[in-house]
Amino acid sequence: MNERQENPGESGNSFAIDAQAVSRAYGGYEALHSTDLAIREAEQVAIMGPSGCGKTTLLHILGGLDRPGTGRVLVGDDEISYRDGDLTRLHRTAVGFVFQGYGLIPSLTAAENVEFTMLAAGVEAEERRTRALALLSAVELGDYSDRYPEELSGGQRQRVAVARSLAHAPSVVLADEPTGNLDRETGMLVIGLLSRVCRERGAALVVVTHDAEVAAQMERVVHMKDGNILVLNDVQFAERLQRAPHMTRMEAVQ
Amino acid sequence: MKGILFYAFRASFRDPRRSLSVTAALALAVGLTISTVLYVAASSRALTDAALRPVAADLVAHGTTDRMSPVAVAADYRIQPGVKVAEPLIAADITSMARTDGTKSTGAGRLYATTDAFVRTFPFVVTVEGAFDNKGALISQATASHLGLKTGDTVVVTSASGTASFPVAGILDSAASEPLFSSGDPNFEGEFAIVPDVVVLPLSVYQASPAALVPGVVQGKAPLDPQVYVQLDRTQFSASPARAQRNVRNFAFGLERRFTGQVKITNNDESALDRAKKDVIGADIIFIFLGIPGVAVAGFLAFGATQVFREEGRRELALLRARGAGPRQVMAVAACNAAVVGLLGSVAGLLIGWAVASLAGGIGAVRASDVVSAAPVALVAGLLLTVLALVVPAIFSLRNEITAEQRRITRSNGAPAWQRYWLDGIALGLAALFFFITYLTGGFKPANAEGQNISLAFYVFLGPLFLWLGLTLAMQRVLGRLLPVVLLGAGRFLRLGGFGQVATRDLIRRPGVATTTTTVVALTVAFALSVIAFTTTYQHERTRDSQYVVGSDIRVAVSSAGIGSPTAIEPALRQPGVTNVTGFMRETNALIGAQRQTVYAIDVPSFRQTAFLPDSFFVNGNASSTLDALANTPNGVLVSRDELIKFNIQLGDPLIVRLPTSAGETSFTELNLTVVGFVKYFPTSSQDSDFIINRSAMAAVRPTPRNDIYLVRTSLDATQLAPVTEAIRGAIPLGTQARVEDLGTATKLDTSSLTSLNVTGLGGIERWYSYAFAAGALLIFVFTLMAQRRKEYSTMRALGASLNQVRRMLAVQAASVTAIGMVVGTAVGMVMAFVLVKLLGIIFIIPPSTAVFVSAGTWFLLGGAIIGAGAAMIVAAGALGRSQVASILREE
Repeated sequence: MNERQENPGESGNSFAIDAQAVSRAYGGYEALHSTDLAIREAEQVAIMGPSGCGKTTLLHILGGLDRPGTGRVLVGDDEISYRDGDLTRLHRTAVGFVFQGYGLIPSLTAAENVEFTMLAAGVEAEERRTRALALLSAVELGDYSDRYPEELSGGQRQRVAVARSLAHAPSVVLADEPTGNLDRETGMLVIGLLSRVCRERGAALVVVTHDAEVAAQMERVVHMKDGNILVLNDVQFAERLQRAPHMTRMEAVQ
Repeated sequence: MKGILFYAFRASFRDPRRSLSVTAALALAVGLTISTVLYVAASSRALTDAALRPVAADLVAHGTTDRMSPVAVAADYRIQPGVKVAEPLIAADITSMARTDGTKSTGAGRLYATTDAFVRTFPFVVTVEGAFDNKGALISQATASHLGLKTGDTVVVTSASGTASFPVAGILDSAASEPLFSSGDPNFEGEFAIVPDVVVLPLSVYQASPAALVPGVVQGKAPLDPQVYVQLDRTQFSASPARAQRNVRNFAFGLERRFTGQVKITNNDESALDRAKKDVIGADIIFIFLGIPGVAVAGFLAFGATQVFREEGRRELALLRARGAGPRQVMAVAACNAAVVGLLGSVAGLLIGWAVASLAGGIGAVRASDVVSAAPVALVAGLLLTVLALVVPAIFSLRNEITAEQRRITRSNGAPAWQRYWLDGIALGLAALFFFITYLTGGFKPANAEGQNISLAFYVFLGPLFLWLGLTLAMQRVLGRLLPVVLLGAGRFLRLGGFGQVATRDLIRRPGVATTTTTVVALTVAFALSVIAFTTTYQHERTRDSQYVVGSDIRVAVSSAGIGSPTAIEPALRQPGVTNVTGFMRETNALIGAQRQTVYAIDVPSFRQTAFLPDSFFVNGNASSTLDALANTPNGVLVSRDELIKFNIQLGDPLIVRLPTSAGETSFTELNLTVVGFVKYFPTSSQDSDFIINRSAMAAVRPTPRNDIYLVRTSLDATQLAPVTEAIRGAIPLGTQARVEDLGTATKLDTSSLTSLNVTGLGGIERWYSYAFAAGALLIFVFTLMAQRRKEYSTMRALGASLNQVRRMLAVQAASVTAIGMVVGTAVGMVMAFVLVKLLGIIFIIPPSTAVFVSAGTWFLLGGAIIGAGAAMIVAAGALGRSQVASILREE
């Protein structure tokens, strides 16, 4: 199964990220079957599906955190090599992450957390601080830059994580259930911010979520089941619309 | 319950990483305990052996009636179990010995008759010329010299019963025969009624000699002392001197009962074992002092190892509870797991302890029977530590689970109970109190109640224990406050860069595990350093004691019984390797006021080049100026500190010393002296009250200006002196009686002193364990950090930190902990060493003023700790490289 879009560019690969026939097995269990998924530049995509369907596995493979058993992943025009140095470079330049459990470093302040990737990349301290403060302002946490994570609420922590994911101006942000630990209202606020900031900065956004409301904020929704991406062609959708005229495409897939 | 136990048993092996880590830490703790126990047992045996070594004959049966036949008694004893050798000896007084031509004769002397086996077994009949055989008599050096006899000549022996002639088969080494003169104890103790003229006959020759000489007991005309010398099989003795003493007494009673009324047995081992008992008590105290802190650190380490896996344990506990296991079943799982781990740790610890103690004490020093005796100790220690390290935390964990279930809110201000109740301050206060009591009661002083350990003043070692506990806890408290300041300062000073600062900030924000590890490292270093400093000081002082006793490298005491020329011995001292020789006079019957005192008369120029004269021997702390003062004042005298205090003597005071003349003990010559200096110790003197004058002053008033003692300085190390000593002994002219001792023999003869104890081996044991502790503590630290921060590290990797950057962070943290631990540990170790040296310093003749801190052992220790930390980091770096970022990030 695949969820490839037509190549929008005339020449070269202008997808922000492009997974081609990737699969992943853990021991004897195949978590991801040969799967294609391409995300266009600045596109915002939600990946939905039941627990254990391979969403996070796919997200980790897209971000180079996990290595596929077969297939390949292109970020921009470059294929991920999975060599340590190349992966480090990838995470410092092209890919940003937002985790369900925030992933903030408890011993660093909000601003220092945002600076972390830039620190790893060797960006000068002054520039790091300027960019971090700008990003914190963008997620409406300008007054909280010197707070430690333990002094912030869950929503605030996730907003810091959002700011951090964009600090190095990545081409794609991968968010793994970013609202999973938040109440509905805060979750929507965070996802709105994430979506907005990514759009402002031209970064593609891939969000793994169980929440249909969150998914609805994205431009495209990809459904997964048993390690496969589910695809509904136009004829199938038209048939289902006849049975339920107000059904969305997403609901039809479900 | 059966099912849950089976589950628990399987669970112990399901995660080998966890079980092995805890087992390894337990094995280290048990290993150190067992090494110490085995070393104490080996030392106890060594002290018993050392005490008995100079005793050639364990028992001597003296005849008490005319009916006693030493030959028959010896034959009977020989076949008794436990008796190795039993040989007869007959001693009889003789009137004189003479040349056959009657031109020269001696005064009264002593005749001995014995067997070949006696001569072979006991070192009392040694020949300097000829040999003991059935052809004739051995005569003493003095007799040979006086009568002008040599091997092959004939000597005429006269007793109260008659006269007999014997061919001279050889010349006796008179010094070796001295113990035979003792009627009760044939050892080198007490004063012997020694006569210079001795003849030793083979028993067969004696029995075949004319009846006029033989009669003795039968006719009652000559006082005869029939004896049987017995050597027991000492391998049957216990290692403990107290038990060995009981063994010997039982043998003595048993042998005496076989000839009731005919023999009285003298037990020569009794006093030697008495001394050994006191030494063993002292040794036990020293080992307790040196061993307990190490075991405490090891136990703490075992607890630390369990903390690495605390989170996993908590999850497992929660899972068990969620699946319906009750508190008792959960506890059964914890207890079963503890039993398995404790048993494995005990067995491994026993084997490690055995190996280490064998290596430290020399292979074979530890016997299999000791190991069997130590096995219960290992088991108890292992299970006790396991209960403390595994079961107690499990109980607390379970209680917390139940508390959470019941939604009870417990209040805590975050500080551990000991901090809130100032247990560290209380412990330090108690340490001070016990040190004060120890000081008031004269320090280290085992009671003399029949060598029972129970009679020891326990408070002597409570002081160091409380000091240790107090310092441990106080350090935890202080480090918790100091760590942020120190780390921030160090981070700035060392310019650690971005990731280095993230690492130090991390330690500052979450100091828990760092503080605990720093404490363990500090305690390990402190413990090892104190032991090393103590053992180095101990060895140093031991050598100093020997140097003080001997006076230089070699001492030759010339006996006044010798009949050679006063200066005849001097050429014998000039052996290869000898650099300086000095001779001095000693008068033990000098009168100062109405009191008899010892006066030494030295030749200052040669004495200062030859004698062992540290500045600390002099009250003004300056050997050179004090000796200059004596040399520049012909009638000067140096006075010992005791006399200075007793009589309030001042520099420049006049002092009249009366020296005996040859006219007799009541005739004295007066010397008018001037006090020019004060001494604390005088080399070779075992007394505290001495007077030292110029040799020329005493020589002027003495009838014969002969030296009583010679000191010999060599260019050799203490261990290389034996050949020179032997060469001097061999070169001493016939007719001159002299005792030659060197640093080596003086140390060995010190068997009654704790200074003969080999603490270096124990130092070695504890040093090796310290390396393991340091490496173990650092391993536990980095793995605890990795266990606690694994998700953070994975997040960092996802955020663009390279593997090396994360490794560097961990390295900075480990290095910080190691550095702070070593600095604090060195400081505490120095305090502990100083305290130990001060407490135990009283066992030395010259109490050490301070501990020797800088030695090869110190550098080895600090280097070993750094290497241990490095090794821990390499292991951690490898583990970091193998960690799966994606799967860690997926964890809930």
